[in-house]
Amino acid sequence: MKTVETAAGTRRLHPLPLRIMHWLNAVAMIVMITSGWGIYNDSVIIGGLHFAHALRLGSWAAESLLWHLAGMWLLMINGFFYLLYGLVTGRFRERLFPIGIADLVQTVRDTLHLRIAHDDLTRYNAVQKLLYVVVVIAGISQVVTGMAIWKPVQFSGLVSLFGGFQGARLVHFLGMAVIVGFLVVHVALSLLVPRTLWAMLAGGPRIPRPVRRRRIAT
Amino acid sequence: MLICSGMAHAQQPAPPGMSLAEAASRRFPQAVRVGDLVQREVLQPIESQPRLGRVREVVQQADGTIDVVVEYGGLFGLFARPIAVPVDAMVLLGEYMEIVDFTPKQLRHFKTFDGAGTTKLPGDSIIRVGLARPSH
Amino acid sequence: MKSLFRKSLFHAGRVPDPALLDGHRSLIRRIERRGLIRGGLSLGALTMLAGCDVKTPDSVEAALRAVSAFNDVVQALLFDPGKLAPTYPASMVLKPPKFNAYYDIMDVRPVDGQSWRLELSGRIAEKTPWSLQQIAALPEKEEIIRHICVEGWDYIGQWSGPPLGDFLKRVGADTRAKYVNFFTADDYPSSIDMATALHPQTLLATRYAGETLAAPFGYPLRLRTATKLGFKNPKSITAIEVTNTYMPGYWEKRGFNWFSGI
Repeated sequence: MKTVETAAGTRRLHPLPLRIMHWLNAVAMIVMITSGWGIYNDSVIIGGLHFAHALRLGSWAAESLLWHLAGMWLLMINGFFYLLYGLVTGRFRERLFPIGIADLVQTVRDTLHLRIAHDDLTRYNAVQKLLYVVVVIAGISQVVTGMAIWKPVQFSGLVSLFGGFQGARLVHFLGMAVIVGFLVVHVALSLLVPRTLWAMLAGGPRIPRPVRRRRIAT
Repeated sequence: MLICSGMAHAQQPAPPGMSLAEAASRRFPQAVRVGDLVQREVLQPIESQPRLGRVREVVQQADGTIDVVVEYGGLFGLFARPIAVPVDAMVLLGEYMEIVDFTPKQLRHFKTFDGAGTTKLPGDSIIRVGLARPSH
Repeated sequence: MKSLFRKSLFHAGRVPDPALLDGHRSLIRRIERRGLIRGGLSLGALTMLAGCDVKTPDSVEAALRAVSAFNDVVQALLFDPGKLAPTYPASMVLKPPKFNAYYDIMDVRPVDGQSWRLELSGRIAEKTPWSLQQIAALPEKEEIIRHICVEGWDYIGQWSGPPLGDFLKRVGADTRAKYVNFFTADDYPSSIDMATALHPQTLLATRYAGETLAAPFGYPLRLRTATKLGFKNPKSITAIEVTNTYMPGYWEKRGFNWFSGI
């Protein structure tokens, strides 16, 4: 009786489609960021700041652009399915919300006291939730500003939204900075708590499936 | 050019043995309003485009040569000091100007501009300034 | 040695000056020291410096090239022939405009306007060459538009001259052909799609801010289209060809995307 219930009533913490999308997204992000640095260098936004050759994907701007405008398809298509998956399966609602202010304060306080609680992989703390929400928004923003920069005449409405072509470039640059900042924290924490990294590869612990309302009624 | 792309170096300084004026004359000097130069940012002609300062005014020396007074150095515009850079050592790069014939090290030794013996050119006067393409 | 001359997407089709190689020994050593961890990608940097035939793996190069060709198709679909680029007030015009080319400013070779002729070829009925006086007699249009460079910078410019679409119709060009190719005095071949050539904001510009174009900006005649990146605007045009045969331009041969619409 019990085994039957477990088999039907649990699933992996990170289902296979999600893991595939996560790692595809990791590849897409790294391609977009490093090729973006190669493109940036031809006309810097912050005087004096440019990215070293070793950090760039593409030996010069044309090659970086080829990578960037190929990587965008992977980022957009994969990102679209990720959003669709998160919304349809309820994963976003279940894992990322609500984000309580009190939780947030408590987690920051704990972290400052070097208490990084990651005993329960199946639940995100408030800071994690906020970081994931911010990076998803940054990713969407990168696509929107990217479209504005790629097609500033065809999508001239988008360009004016960002206060002009250079405004769109600046927001695109800042979006990159947010994502890189996220990546640093995200990768550092996953290395500190390697179980999380393994979970994203192998699926993680089994957790109960979210109970549907229909079932509650019966 | 492609071979050089991606390398950080100044591309348009006067070739060895050529005077500033002669080099400037080969950079296809274009007419520009002095008033349109004032407040322009001045960059170093290398790939990372560091900001050297901002144009304060344009002056004429007693011998007729024209200098661009640049608020040089400092941090975010603070603690900058004015220096007079020969216009022939500078170029237009779109909405920016660049100093192509002096390195920042040389510019640091320029004496602070005090205006003595010079005449400030009014905003509507037209001078000619050479061109450059982006450095990278 | 022959391989040095082979045209590749990722390196210049030029033989490196040995002095250049010497001048960058330390950098090349640095790249070597890194153990080429980034595979072919870092090799590209060395390639660009020295012009040697060390390059991105062919399969990667071919895949990137294929996506770029796919992007040409997508861009042609995104291009709305009726959509006008934003225009701006004269007070925003940058004077003089920004110079850029594949050569240095000191290497600009001015064109003699008196002997200059515009040659026509391909799918065009009236192929008689045009003089500058004849071009000047054509009805003109002026536009104040944003120039956007593939490098990321932009400025607002004021260009005038006969619209290319009007000119093509006047000389009996086959406007159902796919491409309009340009050949220039500065050896910068370029090609655009017919839809862009017929766009109302695509001019054969002869003046900037009311003044005759200066040599570095493409005297006596250059293309100025509001719907493509700056490098798709060849300067000092000497010949126009209407054709169905694709011809990559100067930068496309070196890896930039052909359509490059904005």
